[in-house]
Amino acid sequence: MRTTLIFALVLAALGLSGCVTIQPWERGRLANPDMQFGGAEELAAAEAHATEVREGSAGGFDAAGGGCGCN
Amino acid sequence: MRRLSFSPTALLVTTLLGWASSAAADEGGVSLFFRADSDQTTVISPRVSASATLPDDRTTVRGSYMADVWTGASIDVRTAASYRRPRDPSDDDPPIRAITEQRDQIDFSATHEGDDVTLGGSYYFSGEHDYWSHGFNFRISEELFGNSTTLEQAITYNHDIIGRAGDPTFEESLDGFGWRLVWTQILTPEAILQVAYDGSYRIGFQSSVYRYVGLGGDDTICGSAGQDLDRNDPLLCVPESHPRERQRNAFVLRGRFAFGQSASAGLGYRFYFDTWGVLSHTARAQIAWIPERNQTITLRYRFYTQSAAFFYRNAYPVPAPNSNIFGYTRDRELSPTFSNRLALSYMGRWQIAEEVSLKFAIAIGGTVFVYPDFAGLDEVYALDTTIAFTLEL
Repeated sequence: MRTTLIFALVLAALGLSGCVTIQPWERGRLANPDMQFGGAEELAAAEAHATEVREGSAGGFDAAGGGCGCN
Repeated sequence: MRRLSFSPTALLVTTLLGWASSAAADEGGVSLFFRADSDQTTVISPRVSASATLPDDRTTVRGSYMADVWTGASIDVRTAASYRRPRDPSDDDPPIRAITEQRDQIDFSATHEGDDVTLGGSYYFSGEHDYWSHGFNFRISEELFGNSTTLEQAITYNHDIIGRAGDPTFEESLDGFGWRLVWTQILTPEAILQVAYDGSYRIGFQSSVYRYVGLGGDDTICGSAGQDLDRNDPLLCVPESHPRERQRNAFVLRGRFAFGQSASAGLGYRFYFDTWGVLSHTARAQIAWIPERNQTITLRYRFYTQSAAFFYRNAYPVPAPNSNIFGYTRDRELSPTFSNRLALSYMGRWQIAEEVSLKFAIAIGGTVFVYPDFAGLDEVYALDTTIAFTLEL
């Protein structure tokens, strides 16, 4: 219940922050590789290979995306 | 769906097609992953991949082939081996022959970018001598609020066929349905946040066909497996049997924060729970340093902890007749466990000719897994490394 509440609050905060528009010319730093959630595909796969197949849980962190947020 | 075998010829054709397509592609890459641990297991995984953008300039297709060559005499192998061979009290440390297996996987995916909506789909096939898996994924992502927000939804389906070595009559199946919702938000020109939910429902055979569970002994090990010979052996050994249904839920919150042009930090947290009673927390942190343009050095730390599945026991009694049994397991992944991982990586990109770039990445990681309540295994120390080269045209 507490976790659900925390995530609901975060979603609400994200929804409010959606009102803030960052212009495309301001996103240069966000497009750098170190700001990507997925990171380098091969390196991300290696961490999953090394850990997640030896654990009882799965999912969540392999959601890619992020970066400059523009097409 | 019938079993498919992955013949060497098919592998060769797939690999050659991958290389041929990479010659005319936007990007082609090779990588090698190597892992070794104190549980007598090594994994070597070569991978080739290629991608190309179609003439409409909005559609990208990708393909990859990966092999997993696994050699091991892990606790699973040692205990299963000792179960098949009755214990000889005069032999304190019977040799266990390591097993070598190979898994091959091919992936195909396509992405089409519209003005504000991106559509994507993918398919994979994974095959080994006793396990075959097909998986499909479809996703749609939309840019919102002046492209400061990305909302992605995805659905997945996979169908697995499980066999058993030496038993051609054995065949079971497992179906999985998944759904994902990802909200990515640019907060400032230096900060980005992501919230994700990942859910799945799996129905079918989810046990190991090779693991046996001892009942009525001091622990669940069938046979000695190099354990204390004074322990009370199990009275009965039964095949591992997990519940046939499992629903999994993962919530993720993570962010990236830049400090000028040459440094950044990342934080992430995952909360996971499922209908088998496994509840876990994962925390991740990273710092990145960009010493010069197109060079990145990253240090990553990961902590993981989980509770046991509700049917996990370090020792099972022999059940009374007509008792209600939910399942028996000797799967360390369903025991209480925690791990710490530290990894260092370097990525560089160089222009080697006009409109041709070479990317190089290397990562070295170490992980310590701790199993406080699993008979036969207390800790595993693992080292892994990845080297990757990618050519961009």
